[in-house]
Amino acid sequence: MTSFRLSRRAALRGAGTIAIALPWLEIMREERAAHAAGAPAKRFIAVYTPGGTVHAESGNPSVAEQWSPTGTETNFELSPILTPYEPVKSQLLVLDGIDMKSAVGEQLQSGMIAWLTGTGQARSDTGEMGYASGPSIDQVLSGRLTAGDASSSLELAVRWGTGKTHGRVTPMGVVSFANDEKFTPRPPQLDPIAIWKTLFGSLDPNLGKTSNWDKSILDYVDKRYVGLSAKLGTADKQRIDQHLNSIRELERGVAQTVAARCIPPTLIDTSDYDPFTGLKSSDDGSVKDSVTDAAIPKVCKLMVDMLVMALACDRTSVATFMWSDAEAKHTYPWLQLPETFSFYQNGGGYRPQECAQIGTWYASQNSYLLQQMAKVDMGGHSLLDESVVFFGSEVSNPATHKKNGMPFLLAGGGGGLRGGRWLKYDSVSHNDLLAAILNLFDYRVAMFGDARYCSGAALPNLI
Amino acid sequence: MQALAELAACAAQPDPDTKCAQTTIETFASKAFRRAPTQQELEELLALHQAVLASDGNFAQATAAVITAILQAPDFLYRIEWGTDAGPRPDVRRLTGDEMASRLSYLVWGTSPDEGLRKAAQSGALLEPEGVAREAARLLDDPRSRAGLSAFFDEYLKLSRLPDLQRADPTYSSELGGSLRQATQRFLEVQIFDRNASWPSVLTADTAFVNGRVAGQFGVTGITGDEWREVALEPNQRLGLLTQPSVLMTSLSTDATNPTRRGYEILEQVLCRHLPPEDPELPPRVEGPSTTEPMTTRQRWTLITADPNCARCHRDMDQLGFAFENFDAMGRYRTQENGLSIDASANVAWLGPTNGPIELVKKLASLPETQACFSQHFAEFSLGKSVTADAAGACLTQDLTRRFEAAGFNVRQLLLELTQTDAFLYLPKDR
Repeated sequence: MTSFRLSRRAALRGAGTIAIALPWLEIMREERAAHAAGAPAKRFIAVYTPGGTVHAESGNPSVAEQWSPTGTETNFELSPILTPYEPVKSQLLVLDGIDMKSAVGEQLQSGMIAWLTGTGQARSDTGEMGYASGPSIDQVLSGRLTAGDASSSLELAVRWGTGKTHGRVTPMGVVSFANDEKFTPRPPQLDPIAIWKTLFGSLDPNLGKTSNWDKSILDYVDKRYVGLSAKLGTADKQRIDQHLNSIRELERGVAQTVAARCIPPTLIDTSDYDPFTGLKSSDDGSVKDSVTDAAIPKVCKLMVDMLVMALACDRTSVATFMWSDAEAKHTYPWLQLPETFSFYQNGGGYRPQECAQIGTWYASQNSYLLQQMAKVDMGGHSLLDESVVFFGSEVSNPATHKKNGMPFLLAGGGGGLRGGRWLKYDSVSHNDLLAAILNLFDYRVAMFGDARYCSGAALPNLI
Repeated sequence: MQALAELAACAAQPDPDTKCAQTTIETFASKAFRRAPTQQELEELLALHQAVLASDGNFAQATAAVITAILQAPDFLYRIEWGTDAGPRPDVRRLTGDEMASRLSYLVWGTSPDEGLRKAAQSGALLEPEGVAREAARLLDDPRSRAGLSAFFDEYLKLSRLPDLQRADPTYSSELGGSLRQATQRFLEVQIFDRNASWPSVLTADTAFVNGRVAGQFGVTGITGDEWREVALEPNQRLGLLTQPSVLMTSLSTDATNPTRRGYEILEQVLCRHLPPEDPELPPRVEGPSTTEPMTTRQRWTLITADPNCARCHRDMDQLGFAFENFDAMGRYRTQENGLSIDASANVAWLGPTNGPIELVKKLASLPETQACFSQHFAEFSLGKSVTADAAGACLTQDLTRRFEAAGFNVRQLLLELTQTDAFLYLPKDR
């Protein structure tokens, strides 16, 4: 922190006329000035995809590499699974060679818990498997980005709670953990209609009006500064013109206000989709709900549209989004895959081709999310430009549940994130990546999560 | 509604009309601009009010928009002084009554004028030096003046830094820093307002105010709790403002003392003796002596700055700093460093030899240039500009110092005297 302070000595003096700045408003002091140089990221979205990806395997030549690109850091070809990201490639960072070393515990649950917390699975007093041993980064950021109101973070999921715990309490597939003493799990919201009502049912009806008012206010203020500036000596004039410039910047921002970009998505008919069908599932995947499963694609689109607009309408700045849970015991009828993902992962013997097909479909959904974010104009830059989106899974290999070479992607331009690159690391712990993500939000840490899995320095080369 | 009613009673009635909007705007603008708004300004603000009404807003929302606009306007955020012709004085221009009311109120209270000042402004009383003096005395007798002067000392002594110092010392905390700042502000308040002290006696007062948090820093035992108590200083260890831990700490940026920095502060802040510009030929950084023998800070300093090129500037600074070597970087009194005895003697050519901080403080307090320097700093802070840059500034300092001396270097009186100088009463003629 610099010791910049505007004092009354920072006076304005011109020939004959003296304008002395009054003690300045709090917001114009240290913090803002010190950070004016680099713009920290403003929004964080973590998107969870079940079942890892399809990597080539030593000793099994029949499985070809489906995820890692080929080429160089800045000049690379996307792999089959990542092909859907082609339209947003310039804002995508493919992170290769990162291991989830802190995922200690039950093979799937530990992966979900560690993904955003960097901690192993805790054991509860009763001897049952517990949850996280630390908060997840979305919750850490939520406390900062929304001025302490952690309840304003958004947790959403499609076709969730499909096996073993069936979405009930005690270790269930949750990725978000509160920044409180117990690191309380934050289960996702599932019902698209209820989510729509919460997010958009109570939008301020004054939204459109107030932006017109803001414009009138700024017009008035602008005129006052122009009038004053014309009458001042050189030194005073310079200072006042600087002030005027900052007002002009605000004016440009008002042209792209929340009102202009906040367009709640149309609520489509989802009566064929039972958001709570996961609660009725069986451990072996034998209970199928093919009607709900067939509705997944349209619900996915609605959920993504709601997520993007929740951000555009300033309803939240932090979200986690889950495509199902680690059990993934539902079917994919629109891909002509009649069995559950779990079946193709290992239940029916590892089927890399089907797994890649499912992985590619999730990639296309993720790509749609990024493209929609890129379309929202935040006033000279897009929603994607000011955000950091983190894509991940609970394992890297769907059959063996290995957690090295995790299929992690970052996207967006928040905090100076430099996309269009394929970064190869040598088995580094993903805790370093979590620290690096926090740094993009100007939350300066060298370590995050369980210190035993931290190198002591945040992952380099993201910006 | 309550807030609206406080602005204008009519605004709380159902369906307030345009006349009511005018009243509301005029009331608020005249407070915020610290003067009556002009007809044109009122019209522009009313137009804004009506624009909001026209785009679907209600009276309260329109008023809120006007208030927002006023609070962003330069007339609120800056003190703008246009002045008027001075009548009998063709060489200068006079401030308007409202402009003078603002000057006075920001000088003494650090905030906007009260009703009494606004009335004095309207009556024309503030156009004459006598009226200005009368109002200044009234403001100074009001408790709000204490906050005004403490803002000056916060800046002059850099006391605001105390909660954010870099220290590895485990006894340091932001809280302790804040308390040490309070201890000094408390001391100054009592000296200046309750005892009507002169600047030399502030510099040589033999008491301090401490509570349980800071007593240890002053070397005082047996004090607990948050309540401030006046205690006698150990007569061989501390004397006056310059030996307060706060003042001894703010010039240092690490856990080690730095005689050069401490001496520099005395030269610049207490004596207004300015160093010649830096010699560009000199190396930017000098290596310290490479010895494993225990040394005092003074011994190390002496080895480094023995070079005649260094000594030219460093001699006076370092000698003045050595006198305070009895205080560590936390402002605690010490007689030993690294097992060696501390030598706090100093020999500055234009000051004569001194032995220890108390002798030096007494000598500084008796110098005429110390009083002149204080009045110069006070004038710069109050007028918001350098007074050393031009001839007019030099005149002001001379004039003010003469008045300060005539008042027995009384600190409160300095404030009143400042309001009677040309620099305070008038604006330059040329625009």
